Amino acid sequence: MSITDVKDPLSRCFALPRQLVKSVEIEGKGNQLLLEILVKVRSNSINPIIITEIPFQQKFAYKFRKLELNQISEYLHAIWSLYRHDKDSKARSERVIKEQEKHTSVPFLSKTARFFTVGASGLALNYVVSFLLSNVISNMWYIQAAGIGIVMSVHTNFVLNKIWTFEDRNFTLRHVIKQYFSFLALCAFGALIQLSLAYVFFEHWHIHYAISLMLAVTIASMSNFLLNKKITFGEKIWE
Amino acid sequence: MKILIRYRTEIILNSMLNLQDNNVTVNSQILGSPALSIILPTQHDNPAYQSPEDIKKIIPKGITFEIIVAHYDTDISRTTTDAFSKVPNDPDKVYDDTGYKFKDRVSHFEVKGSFISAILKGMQLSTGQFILVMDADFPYPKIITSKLIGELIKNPNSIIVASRYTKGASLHNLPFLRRLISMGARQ
Repeated sequence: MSITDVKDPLSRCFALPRQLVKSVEIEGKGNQLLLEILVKVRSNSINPIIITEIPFQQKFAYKFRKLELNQISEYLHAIWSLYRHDKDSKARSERVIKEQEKHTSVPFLSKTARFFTVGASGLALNYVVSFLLSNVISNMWYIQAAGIGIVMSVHTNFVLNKIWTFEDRNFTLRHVIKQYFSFLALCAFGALIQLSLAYVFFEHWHIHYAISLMLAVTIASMSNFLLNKKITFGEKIWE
Repeated sequence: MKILIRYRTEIILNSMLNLQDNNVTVNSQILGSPALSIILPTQHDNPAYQSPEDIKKIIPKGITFEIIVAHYDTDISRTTTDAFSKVPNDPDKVYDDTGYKFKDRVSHFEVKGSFISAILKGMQLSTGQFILVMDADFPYPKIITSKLIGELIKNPNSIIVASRYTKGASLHNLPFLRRLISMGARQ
């Protein structure tokens, strides 16, 4: 149960471990101790606080004291201070998260490096398989051999990227199939980008073929990485 | 056999209540500190519904406890208070230098101030690893104390609240303004 779900935050009967309030400064404004404890303990704690409410039935009538104006005013002031306290602590924790996010360039670079390493391993596998099928194991037509090489490298790339690059440990069938088809679609899209760019660089801008190809491969690989990161593996782009 | 069972229950319950910090537990046990401190704030001119003697009977056997009755008086201008009027006139009661009275795990003290100052002072004076606060001037059903303690044993890291508004609760004569204030706090 979260603090906002507590039905009776003004209860005058509650129990708690001393450790929870040890590091909390209780001011006692507005005469509502439990509410203050709940708000301050929550903003002070990293883990969610477990709150259990036990209903009780009042067996006989009780004459409540009439609330005086200064009590109401103190209470409203306390509520406002607690609201500000909660808001400030939320803002503080958001600032900390943002600070942490600023330092995420290392994981991003590390993932990029892993993705390109996997890509290089796919290229090597593609070459070896194509070579073996067309020259050593059989005399397969080189286009067929290259096709088998591509299929194999795409699959090993998918597995390696899932497990190693993005460290995704969700192996439920539905999730993996979804990722698999997304990965295939993005590979096809990457190939299309690569071919289109190589064509534009070489045919229209008259850049040297080797440089055109290198540029096209770099841009397509980077877009492939970012799209797979976002779409296939559901990560933030710059994380 | 009966003694053995009681002894074992005592160990289990205390160890359940002392899960927080082993070093503190050991020290507390050496120093004789209780696992549970029950703080009962009571206004000097209100009839107290929760008496330490009744609460003592409800606390599950084996749980070490102390009861702190905090008598508060909101009228600061009043020079003499009747704060201790509700303390039973027991010839065996003991006064220390600070004016507190201790007897059989129950202590009384007085505070010039509000309900909350009484609780805060009570918390300050208490030594238990767990704190149970209960407005002594409200007619809580007797069973609520044992329910709170039972829940605390089950979840020693949680806050247990005796609720007037959760499902299964009922309350009589709560004035509209108080009900409105409670509703406002929940937002």
